[in-house]
Amino acid sequence: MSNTPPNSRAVDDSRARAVSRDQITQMVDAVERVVLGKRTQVRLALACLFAGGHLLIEDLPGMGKTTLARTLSTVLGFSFKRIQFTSDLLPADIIGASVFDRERGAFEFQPGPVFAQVVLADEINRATPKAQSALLEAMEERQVSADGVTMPLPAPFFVIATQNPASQAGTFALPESQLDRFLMRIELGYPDQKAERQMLMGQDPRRFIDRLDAVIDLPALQRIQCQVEQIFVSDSLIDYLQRLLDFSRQSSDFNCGLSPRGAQALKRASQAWALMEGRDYVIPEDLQRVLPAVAEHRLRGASDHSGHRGVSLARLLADAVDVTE
Amino acid sequence: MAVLMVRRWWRQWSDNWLRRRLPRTRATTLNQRRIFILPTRNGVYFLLMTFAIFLGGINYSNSLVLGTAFLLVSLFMISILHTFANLSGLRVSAGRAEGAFVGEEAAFTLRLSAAGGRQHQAVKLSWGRAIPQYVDLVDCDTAAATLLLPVTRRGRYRPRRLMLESNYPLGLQRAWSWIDLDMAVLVYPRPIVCDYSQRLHVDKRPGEQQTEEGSDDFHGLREYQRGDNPRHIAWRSYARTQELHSKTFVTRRSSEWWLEWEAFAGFGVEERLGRLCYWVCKLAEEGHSYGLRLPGVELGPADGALHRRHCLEALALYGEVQP
Amino acid sequence: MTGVVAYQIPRNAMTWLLVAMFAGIIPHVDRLPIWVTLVCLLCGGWRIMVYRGRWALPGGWLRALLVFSGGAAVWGHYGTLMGPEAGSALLLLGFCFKLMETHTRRDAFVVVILGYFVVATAFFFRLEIVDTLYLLLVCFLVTAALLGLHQSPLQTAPRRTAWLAARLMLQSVPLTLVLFLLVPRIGPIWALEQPSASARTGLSDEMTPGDIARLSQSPALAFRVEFEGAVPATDQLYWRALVLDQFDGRTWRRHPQQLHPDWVVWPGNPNPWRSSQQALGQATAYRVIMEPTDKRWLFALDLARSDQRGIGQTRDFRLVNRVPVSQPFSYRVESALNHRLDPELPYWLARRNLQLPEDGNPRSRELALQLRQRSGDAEELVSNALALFRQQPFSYTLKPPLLSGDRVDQFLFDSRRGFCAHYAGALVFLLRAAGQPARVVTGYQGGEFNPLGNYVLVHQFDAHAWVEVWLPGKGWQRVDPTAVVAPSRVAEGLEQAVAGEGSFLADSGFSPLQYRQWAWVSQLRLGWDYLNFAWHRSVLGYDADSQRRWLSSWLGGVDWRRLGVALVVAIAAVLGVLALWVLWRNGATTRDPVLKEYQRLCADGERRGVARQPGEAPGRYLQRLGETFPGQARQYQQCARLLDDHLYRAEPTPGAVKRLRRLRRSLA
Repeated sequence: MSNTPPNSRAVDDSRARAVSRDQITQMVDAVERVVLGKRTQVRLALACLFAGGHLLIEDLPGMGKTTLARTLSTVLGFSFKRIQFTSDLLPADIIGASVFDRERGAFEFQPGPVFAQVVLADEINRATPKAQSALLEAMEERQVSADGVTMPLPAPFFVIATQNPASQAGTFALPESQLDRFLMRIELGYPDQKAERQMLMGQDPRRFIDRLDAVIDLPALQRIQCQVEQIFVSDSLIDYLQRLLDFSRQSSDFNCGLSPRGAQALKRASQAWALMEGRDYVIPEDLQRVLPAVAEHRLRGASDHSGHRGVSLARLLADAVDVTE
Repeated sequence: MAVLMVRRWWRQWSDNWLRRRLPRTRATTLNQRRIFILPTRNGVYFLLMTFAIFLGGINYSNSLVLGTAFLLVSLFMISILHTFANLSGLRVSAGRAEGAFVGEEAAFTLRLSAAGGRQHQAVKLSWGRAIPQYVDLVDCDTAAATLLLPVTRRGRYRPRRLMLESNYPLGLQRAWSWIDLDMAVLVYPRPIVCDYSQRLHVDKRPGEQQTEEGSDDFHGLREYQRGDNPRHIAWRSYARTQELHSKTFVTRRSSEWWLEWEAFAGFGVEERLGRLCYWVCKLAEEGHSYGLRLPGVELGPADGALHRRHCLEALALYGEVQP
Repeated sequence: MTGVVAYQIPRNAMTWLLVAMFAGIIPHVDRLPIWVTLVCLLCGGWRIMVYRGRWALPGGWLRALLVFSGGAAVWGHYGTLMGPEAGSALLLLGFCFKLMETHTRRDAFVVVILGYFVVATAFFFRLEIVDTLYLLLVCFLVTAALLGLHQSPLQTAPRRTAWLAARLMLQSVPLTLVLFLLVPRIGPIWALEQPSASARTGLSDEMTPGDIARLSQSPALAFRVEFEGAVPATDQLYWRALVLDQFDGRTWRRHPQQLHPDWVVWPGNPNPWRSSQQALGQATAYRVIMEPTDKRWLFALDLARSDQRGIGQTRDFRLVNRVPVSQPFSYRVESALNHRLDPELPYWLARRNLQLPEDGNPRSRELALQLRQRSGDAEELVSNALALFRQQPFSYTLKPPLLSGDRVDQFLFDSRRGFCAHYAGALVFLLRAAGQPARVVTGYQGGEFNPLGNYVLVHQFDAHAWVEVWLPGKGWQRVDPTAVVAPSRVAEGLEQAVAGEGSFLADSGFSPLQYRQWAWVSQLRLGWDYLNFAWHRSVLGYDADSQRRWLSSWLGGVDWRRLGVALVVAIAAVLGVLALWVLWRNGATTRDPVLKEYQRLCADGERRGVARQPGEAPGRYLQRLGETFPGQARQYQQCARLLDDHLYRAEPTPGAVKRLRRLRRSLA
């Protein structure tokens, strides 16, 4: 019907959102069965996916970074590749290379692991900057150029990178200027007591990974991503966002404020969070919720000496800026 | 002697009083607790003039001359309110502060905003030895002012209290407030031009390059050995020669400098720091990669603005107790 | 938004200073020697050329020369450098000279101070409403210049400066009123000669009938009278000013003794001629507000008495002021309209009022003797004399023929045309020649009643001369021969008396008084006069006396303590209100009514001990409030929902403000 009354359209929208919400809940539940006691991080990771951004998980070894990433990809049910970053990794190892086919007497492009819908870049800081930037470029462009040929990457394209914060010999921390290619950076932290006890008492939950089924399919994900874009962002919220940006740029607490890309990221991430909360509009709490994950790695504290060290920069920002006028 | 003691005592007392009344903050809104107001010399002259007119009115029993005197007195009193209002409600917050080398001027940016939605005009900001600045907040909510304070000592520099004053609108009263803004900058050593002796430049000459096995740059071909990564096989040469070769890669290290504290043995602390500072700036300008070794501090070779900054900070803070 | 410190006088301030200078000169122009004005205009013009960047400022020597010669010229012109006249000339010159050499803010401030002085001195000479308004405008211009001096150099819009200055001035008005009313008025601290304006029109102290062919009449105001009770009939309104008792055949004058200090008794002193005046019946009380005359005599109905300090009574029962009246002057009088004066006439006084020249006017003297013989007693003599005027063809005119030689004879027997002076002079001559003491009294007769303010206006053209004759047992009696000849002059005023002649105000140029037949012109004129009257009475005439009267009606008794308390309280109240107004921050920094409600909710919350944290979102804060006050959690939740809907949701709910307000009130 071409002339659908506006009401029924709204009803359709809200019904679609309800469906999406069910699926999201299922996903969260499924991941939680493996990754215990990390509901917030799981939800943030999913929000990152729905917002169409890439995720950086940063924490000490043994905190379950890889598990989370693998579980996520399994639940998503998309093509999944894992790249273990090492110091001798070459860009070609990520992107792929042209191989000579003797039979045909011609070169043939062998796609690298980056040609997957979900790519897990494990310990990204172990590889050389050259290899890193190959991946980062692919993330940004969503396409790959090799031997003069440009090939699009599959859609959706979701990179989950993990990184070890303790810089060790022979590691190359991601350049700060490139960190903001990741929509979010999350830290896992230690599991709470209950979750840890469950882990110790029971069996290793990791074995569930193989038994997990994909909860969502491609059209469903695309629908969710589309819904994220339609989540309403009011003028008041934009005002708040702008005040945050302004403060980050003007205050002497920050050496370097949020970029326009960061602003865009904040908006998209809060839209995704609002959707996960089952709302069709964004409230400041959404923004505050995603702020640490989205903004922390984009802000650089003033290296200066006013005694604010130890407080997270995103927290400082959120506490300093009034939500309403 | 006694005078000195009294003066010192007075200064301490007034400092303490001000500190209690106007504690150090990152941002503050001026209100009646913080604003002081007194008539200016012109204000006193104005009152004297008014009194003269009043006497004239009395002696000639002229109501209108008296009325003029009363109008002028009222104007005086009303302008007290306006002078006060011109500062009251003004919010001052610390903005950026940029470090500087000894002998230069550190830039402190202050942000002023009209918290009350009122207008503020001709507010004079004076801070230490900086040239005072006038700020207007008319038809706009915020303004920024950058004050350049000369710095003379290396290390962490925290200016004393900032003074805001205003005698707007009629110049008959002066309202002022002291603000202890929590702002600080690092003062880097004054660069001292000098040579850097070659022997201390870690056993390599500039331009000479060192390579090691790595993955950055193509280095050459060698015969294929089992176990070589198939992605490293030179397929083009295979297509040509039908022989399998593996590509080898190296990581190039461009010239690296180590700036050593010990290089300037025999100089005083500040002299050494000044010379190191000069070299940090020079190498950063030329785009070299360099490292810095001070007693207790070692910054590995790197380049870029951030590294330069880290190095300068290390130099500035050398010998200071960390907060 | 920031500027450099190096100072130069903002053009803004300079503009206003120049405007103020030109405006400040104007009220002085008519009074000052013309060269002062010219020098001032020259300075102003020069400064304008400098301002426009065409000319340079004059050199130091030239300036010194200007200042010195300016001072010398003022000295030469006035013979002094002190006093309002010379002082204001000096001030004006100083104002202009200083403006010429203004470089620093300090110079400019001096110019501003001088500007205020110029305004203040102008008030010595200009007191009318329009003048006052104009001088307030000048005052405003000077203030604008002062304001411009202290704005930052980036604020260059003169209009904005003017607006701010106007705001300052307007805000000063209430306080000015308080000070004006409550600051205790004290008398002059040291005696000073009052500045006087140039020639004033008014009564003359001598009278020469037949000298002029045309009586010039001025529509100017002489005085106003505000009666405390009913206004007496117009033919009762004989405002005595002067008694002319000496005649030389040509001119009636005052006897020299009238200028002797003994002729006056001041209040508080024993009145040696108390027994010669007897008031009969009720006294009529009124207040006279007179225009300056530069003379000491005052106007009153007889028999007049005033307790006011500085007002004395003369032996001929007139009122005089201690000093010449050079400023608008107001005094209260009580008059016993029914009275008996000098029932026993002392010999010396009788002699003085029988004085006549040795010879001259033989026909009149003979007529007087005939009258004397025909009349039984003095009263009959007077009525016979008046009957003469009634029976013979005498006529009242403002354009009488000139007289010379035996003027009284010529008038009585030949021309028989004249105005009050002719009739009064002739009658006194006749009576004296017949042996009856008599004298000429001049002053004003009648007046125009202004119903708007319930007061009587007396104009210069109401000037009149009449006769007082002494009758045995009755004392001095007023006799007005003009009333016999032209009854309408006394009953209805001059205009009616000369209606046929068309000579009323014929030579006084334009005056709205000429159009009294048009009602609306009259209305306007009386309205405007009422305004002026109120101005004179309440503003110009507000002195220690009226302050005491006014305050005791308000405060119930005046003493220093009460006055002080009232003054302090009133100042504090006015300043308090103004402070609230000036310092009022639009506390709610938003225009959104819903947000305002939220801000009030926050304020309420803070009062209840749960303050909003910085960076706390509305939803979170209201939830926290709900947790703290579980009984009201539901309301807070509703508030949060309303706020979210309004601020962040696509479809705002109508009526959110009202519902929020209701909720907030239920919570508070």
